[in-house]
Amino acid sequence: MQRRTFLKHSALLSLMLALGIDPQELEGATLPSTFDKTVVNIFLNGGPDFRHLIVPIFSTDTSSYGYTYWLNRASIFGISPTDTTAIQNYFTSNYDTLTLSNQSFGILKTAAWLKQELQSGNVAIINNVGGSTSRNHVLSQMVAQTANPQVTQMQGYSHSGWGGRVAQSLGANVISLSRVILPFAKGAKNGDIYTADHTSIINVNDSRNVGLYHFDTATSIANGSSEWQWSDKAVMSRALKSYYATKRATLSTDSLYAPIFENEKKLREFGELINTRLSGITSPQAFSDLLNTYQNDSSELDFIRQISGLYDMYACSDLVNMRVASLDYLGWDSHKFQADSLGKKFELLFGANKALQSLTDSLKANMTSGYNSTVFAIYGEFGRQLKANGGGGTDHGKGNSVILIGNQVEGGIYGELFPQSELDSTNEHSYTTISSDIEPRTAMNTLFAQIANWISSNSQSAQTLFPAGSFSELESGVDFSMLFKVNV
Amino acid sequence: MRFFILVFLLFVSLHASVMLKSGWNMVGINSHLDINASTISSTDIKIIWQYDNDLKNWKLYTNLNVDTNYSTITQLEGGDAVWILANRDFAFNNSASSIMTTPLSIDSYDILNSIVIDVSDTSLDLLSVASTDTSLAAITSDKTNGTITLTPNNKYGSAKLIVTALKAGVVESRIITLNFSPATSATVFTPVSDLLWDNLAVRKVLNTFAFGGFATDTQIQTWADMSPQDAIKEMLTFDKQNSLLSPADSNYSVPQNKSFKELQDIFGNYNDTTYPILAYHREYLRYSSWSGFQTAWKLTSNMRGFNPFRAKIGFWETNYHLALNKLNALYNHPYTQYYDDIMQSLEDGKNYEDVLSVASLSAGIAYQYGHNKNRYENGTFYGNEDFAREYHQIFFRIFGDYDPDYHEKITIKNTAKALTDMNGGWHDATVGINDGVAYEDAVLTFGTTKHYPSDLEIYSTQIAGTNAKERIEALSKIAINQTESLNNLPLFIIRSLADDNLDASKISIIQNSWKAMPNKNLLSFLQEYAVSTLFHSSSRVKYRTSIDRNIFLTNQFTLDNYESYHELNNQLLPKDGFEPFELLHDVFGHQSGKEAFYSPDVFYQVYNNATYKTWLFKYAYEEQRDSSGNVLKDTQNNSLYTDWIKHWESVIPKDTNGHYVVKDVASWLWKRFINDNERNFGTLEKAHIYALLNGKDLGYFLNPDDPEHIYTISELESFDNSQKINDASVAFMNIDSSDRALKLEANHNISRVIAFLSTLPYIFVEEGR
Repeated sequence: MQRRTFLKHSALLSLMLALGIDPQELEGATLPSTFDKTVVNIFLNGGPDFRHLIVPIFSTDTSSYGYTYWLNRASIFGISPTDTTAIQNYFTSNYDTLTLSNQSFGILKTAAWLKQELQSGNVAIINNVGGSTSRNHVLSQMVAQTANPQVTQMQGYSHSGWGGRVAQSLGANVISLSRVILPFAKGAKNGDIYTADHTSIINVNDSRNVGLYHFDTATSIANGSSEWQWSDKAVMSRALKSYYATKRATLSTDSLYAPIFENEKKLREFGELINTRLSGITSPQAFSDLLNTYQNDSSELDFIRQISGLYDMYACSDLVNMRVASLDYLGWDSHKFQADSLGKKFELLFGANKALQSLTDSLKANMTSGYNSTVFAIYGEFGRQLKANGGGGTDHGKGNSVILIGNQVEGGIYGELFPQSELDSTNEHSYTTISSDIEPRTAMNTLFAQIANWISSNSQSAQTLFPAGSFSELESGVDFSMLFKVNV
Repeated sequence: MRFFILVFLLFVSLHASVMLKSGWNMVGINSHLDINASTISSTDIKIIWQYDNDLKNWKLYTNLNVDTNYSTITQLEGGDAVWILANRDFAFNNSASSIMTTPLSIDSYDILNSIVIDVSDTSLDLLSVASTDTSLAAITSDKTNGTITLTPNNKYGSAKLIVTALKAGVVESRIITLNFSPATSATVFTPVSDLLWDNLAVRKVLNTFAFGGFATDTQIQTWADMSPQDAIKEMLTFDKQNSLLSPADSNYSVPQNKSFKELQDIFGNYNDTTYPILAYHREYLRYSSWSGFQTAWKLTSNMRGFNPFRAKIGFWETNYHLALNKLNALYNHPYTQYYDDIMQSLEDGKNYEDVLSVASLSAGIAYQYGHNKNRYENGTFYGNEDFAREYHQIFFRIFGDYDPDYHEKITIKNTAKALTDMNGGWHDATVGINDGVAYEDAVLTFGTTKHYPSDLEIYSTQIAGTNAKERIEALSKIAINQTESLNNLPLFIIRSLADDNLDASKISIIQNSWKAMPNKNLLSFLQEYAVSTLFHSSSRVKYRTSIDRNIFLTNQFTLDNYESYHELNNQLLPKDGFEPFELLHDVFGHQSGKEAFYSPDVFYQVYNNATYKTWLFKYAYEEQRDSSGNVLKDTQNNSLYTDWIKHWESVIPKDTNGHYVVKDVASWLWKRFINDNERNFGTLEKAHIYALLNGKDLGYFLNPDDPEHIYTISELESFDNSQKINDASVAFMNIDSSDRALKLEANHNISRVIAFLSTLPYIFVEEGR
């Protein structure tokens, strides 16, 4: 559509004015220069084994954590537990050592960007975090994304999420980039957390094609063409636009069909705004390169698509009022082939010139304020059991780490990285128990509440967004008050 | 015995005005009002109807020039209630009250007697009660005792009552909606009454359980005329063929009584001349092809002669319940075997726990979860507990709530040991086998040497067995009767297949019905549910998944097997970007209906397909291709076409005068694709569809000088526009014309309407009655 014609659309003009946007800025590759605080939630679906990413340094001291860990997990890497030389060689070949917050550990070499960010003080690793008491994927995902420990599986699709509630409280939108809208992104209808509200969600699966097709009848007529009379595109787009406009005006907001009309309205209004803005902006080459590299890996392709779309949404953040973004990365349920499958995923996520580095480098170069305003929250529904399962992987566990990344994050290790209690055979959460897993010491909600307070610059924000009593559990010795550099 | 119901009628005085909406409004009148051209603006009001309860007849006021036998309304008094057809939204003065919108439901009404509504305790003095509904045989009011007595004509139904009362000296009227149904103490599925088992009900069963099915209009009416219990036994069967639900195409037959393995061997056979598969498509249908099963399933789901109920349940089992994800690098052999074995078990009438055992012991599931590597050696278990958990959680819907610690430490751990020494695997490409490409074993063998040697305690029962097969078959018989499974499994079945709106009452009935079956049989359960009052209740809501909706659309759009064999419609299937058997949530199943319904991205795909890719719905011609699939060209490099043309006249009926009249065709298409008893087929929908069937969009049709004008309902009901729309509705279509150009034009217009319907909100959700 020509710009002149586009600007004739009074509905769009009204929307732009309501959003405080100068219509002139839609073209000319103008990128926003100011950004509010933003949370990018990256949900690692399946239960990511962060103990595979960050490991204890191997030791031959049989009483040490470094020895016990590798003894119990060597089979994941195809190594005999008794072959300490092979273990040492594997560790040296695949992990770098790093010391942070007075704790030394190994980090996958392929996660080179994460290591660099850790060293720069931009990464907080919060350990021993737990949400669901179940090892059921679906229920645990619900607990993590709704931030309601009491949620049931049956409440499923109808429950609000903590990201949606945060965005609602800010009068902003959640940009949902995952293939399906996650519970995390849904707002609460009239403040009832058990009833999802979709009105603050803008769903973007293909950021370069989000608008509803519109045939430009006015230009066709002006050009003396008869296409507007006979072409299917002209006839069908006028018919459906007209139908939806009239029907929506007469439809009750509590109609069963109202969400379809809401979808149509958002796509028509925001789609054209986004398409017009992005028509003058080139997507960074790094994303195309990644798409080529991972062209045979469906989960990886999907994640790169989301990261690429997220960059585009930063470019449109003033149009879409983005304060929260919701992404997911599938395939972290590593019961088998863990070394290969997680190796690939951690590399795409945290590797040099891979997904997050490509995104953050592009933001730093083109929308610095956007980068500086953003915190990435990376986690899954639960952790894995401490020991390898004998099938080349690990089975469902409980506690896990959460990783926060961003310029405003006070980097460091929060909570005991490798609890010594896991070596104690009398402890319920130790390598010797039947379902050995990481003891949850800090409630997920305690951390999420801190994030909510940070983004809203209001230390009491969490009180209204999270179920009462669900965000107080905190590991002894851990202080979240300094988790962010700009505190509330 | 009369059934007394105490009703609190909430009267809210609206002495100034009430907002009327464009269209029909029910309004109570506050005080005297003369009705004539000077008091009633023709801009605002087109028609007023009033029921005279004394005369038992209707009275009318209209500014339209019409002949009528009805008495004319000249004045209204306080306490009167009327129907008003408004031309636009406006504030109507002198009205007393607005409409009460919350229905009053009486679901325990005893059919043998009348309904008595007691309003004596409402500080109201009852003046009169009237109703415009024919569902009531009689209606009386006892002003002294403050009761209203109703006698329904039918067991089920609803009626709108106009109740007028005196409250604090002010006469006020109120419209109440009364839903009624017979008293029931049923705790299990109750068959729907014959009165509600009609053409609409039959179609709803077909749409929900058979992708719409291929039954003829005549057959649908035949089923509607039978008892629901008899009809459903013909409609829903697990046989590979069901000649009533999916009659054979006499010109283009399909192989009979074949498994999918056999179908791939037949359709993928390059030498086959019996079935008109396009030559260049055969390689994709071969058993050795990576996606042979998927391709064959999509083809047959859209063909007359195969059983669409079997296809729907097979799809549901493998994509939602016993989910096996093709994206988990699964080869064609084990996937085909998985589907065939499950469906053969259902066809054989096996108990459901035995069907679940068949699935649990399949090669496909073992490869997906990796327990084909599980073994017990030298007193140690090696392997994962992935399927050991999901066998209980996904297959039987047991989450461990009965005792979370026991479930984690005993049930799952021991189930993992039960799943040991299950052997099968991958084979490298070998000349002479499987077309010389790599493959995976389609079935497992069950060893004993690496299988756990002793009994295993699961659910406080010692599960014996010398190999995994014996062990799992024994365990399934225990698992199916666990309380969690008895409660959750039937809910999962009904929720995922038919109703996203289960309340406590429905849940109880569904659970009780499942528990009441001494032998759990899926077919019997579904048949009983499909003719139950639950399925045919107004509160049932099923959001359609993208695949469900697209197969339904494709089946309604396809008229014979030539189109299917030539894959003229196959691009409709994946048009939202979702492929059958490539599961969105991996082992937790494919896209849900709610996900599709609430997804702007899905709507984006649907809308842009209808507008930008309308050709998806056209298929007015077929290109000629060579054996490699290349389109043949003439000397001028123009594509060559076959003389195939779509024959809508084979299914769309003519009127009694032998014409295809636009409004009849529109109604027929609405019923075929929307099937809501025309509940949502209002002024706006009719106007658009009539215009499209006349070859234009509504804007262009009504005013070529302003084709982008958005018409309100009021504008459509204006005299000029309603005349034009009426003219459009009675136009004739050349659906069966011998003139190819005219016939193509009619087909084209029908295709546009189908594209239009495919984008309406009503196609995204299937409602109960």
